[in-house]
Amino acid sequence: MIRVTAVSKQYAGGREAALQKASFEVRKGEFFCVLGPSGCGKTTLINIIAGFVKASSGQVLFDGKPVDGPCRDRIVVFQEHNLFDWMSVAANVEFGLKAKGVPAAERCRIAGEFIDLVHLKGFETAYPASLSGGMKQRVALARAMAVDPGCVLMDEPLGSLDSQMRERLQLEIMALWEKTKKTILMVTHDIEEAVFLSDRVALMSKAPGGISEIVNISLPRPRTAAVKATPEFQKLKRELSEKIMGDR
Amino acid sequence: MKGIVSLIVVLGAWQGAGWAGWLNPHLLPPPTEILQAFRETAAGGVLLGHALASLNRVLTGLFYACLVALPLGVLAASSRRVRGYLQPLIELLRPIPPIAWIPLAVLWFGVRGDRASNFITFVAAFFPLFLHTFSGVRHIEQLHLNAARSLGASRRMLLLDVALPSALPFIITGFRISLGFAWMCVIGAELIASTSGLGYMIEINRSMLNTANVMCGMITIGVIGYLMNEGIMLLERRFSWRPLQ
Ligand SMILES: Nc1ncnc2c1ncn2[C@@H]1O[C@H](COP(=O)(O)OP(=O)(O)OP(=O)(O)O)[C@@H](O)[C@H]1O
Ligand SMILES: [Mg+2]
Repeated sequence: MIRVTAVSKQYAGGREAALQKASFEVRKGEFFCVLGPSGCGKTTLINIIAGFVKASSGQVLFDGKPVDGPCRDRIVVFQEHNLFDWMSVAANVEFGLKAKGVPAAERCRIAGEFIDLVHLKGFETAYPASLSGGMKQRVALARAMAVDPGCVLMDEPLGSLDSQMRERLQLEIMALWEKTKKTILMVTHDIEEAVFLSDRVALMSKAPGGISEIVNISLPRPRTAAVKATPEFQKLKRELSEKIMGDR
Repeated sequence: MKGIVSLIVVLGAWQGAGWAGWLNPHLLPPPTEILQAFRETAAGGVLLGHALASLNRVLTGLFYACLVALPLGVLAASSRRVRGYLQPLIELLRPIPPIAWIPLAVLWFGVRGDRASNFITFVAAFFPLFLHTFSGVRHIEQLHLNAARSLGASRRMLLLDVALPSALPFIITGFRISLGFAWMCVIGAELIASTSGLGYMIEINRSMLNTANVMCGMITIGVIGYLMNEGIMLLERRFSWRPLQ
């Protein structure tokens, strides 16, 4: 579904490459994580796949076609707070549907459904400024999912949340994924998060980032929070952290 | 509270000086006389008539300024080419104070009717509105644009649902500054190029040495300007989803 081949990025004025020959493939319907330390080029990678930024070399194919520019088949959930502050929760979630030309009544119904899915019923008319960080990211998730994209690109969507909220939202993302069967490509620096959510994890090396290895996460599904306590989970976590350490 | 005290002290001293005969009433009439002037001018509807004439000119100029400055500001902010053509023109015209246009306005439109004053308020209102619209649209966050584009927004949606609402707090601030500026300039225009309005009223009363009426006009100008400013500040607070600069 997404095929990234030897993608590098050198920003004009950057001292060294932000991304170095990254290659991997994301399969349809899969939950794929890219795990890498801060500053290794994760956001750069997402921006290239999304079509916001052009790669310096290499190629990104989406459904067999080269990516040139953003498209509603690849929706991004951003690292920073990025809701439209001047719109209510419902209007934010409806934005992509409106762009798609969905009639108003239908828009309202679909938005309501997704707002419900992220447990924000009752907040339809609230404005982003009055929501907590976790609620904002929930709205962003609903906004992305509501347009029914081919895949969702998530750039550390839980990076700015406290650990409790993080764990709750991990479960919600998992539930959303199971319900919608979307392909999800998520980047994160949190090992536990990557292991818990993913079918496969790509390890990104320290700057300049490239993909050093891809690890299968064969934990059974559906997964619940309890899986984190199992020896298999702990073993995978240890393995990944050793691999990341070894890389340094 | 302290403000009221100082106001009372100043007014009291002023009135006292008047009663003591220390003031020349043609140069500085005491408060009671100004109050009397208020009663007289208000009674015949004269004061209201002049105030409405001035307000009408301000709003007319502001209306046309919006019509021109808003689209132009959005265009200049979103197109590098338009910006290239407009910038030198704007930068050349902007330092000319609107009241410096009055002689030209008189030549073009005459002193009868509203057109000369309307033109001056248009010039006064145009620049703050244009510049605030411009920088409002220029300051839209790249992240918001990226999000909107990735969600499939058309150019029309980018403009109407993202650019304009995101720039609205800036635009309202521009509107407030334009209104205040146009109000100052309409008085200037009416001093010279009009036969009605508060500016005309204070000028005609000056020539008749009716100083109490001059001051009554001045106070009216101040109060109306203050009220307009406060009104729009309310609007600004209502629409400030981002902290105002
Ligand atoms: N627009 C830009 N211009 C120049 N350099 C940039 C730009 N964006 C990122 N960089 C640089 O590229 C490198 C990778 O940045 P990137 O934001 O992709 O990392 P990241 O893995 O997302 O980091 P974080 O975990 O902090 O989000 C960094 O060294 C950064 O300074
Ligand atoms: Mg990042």
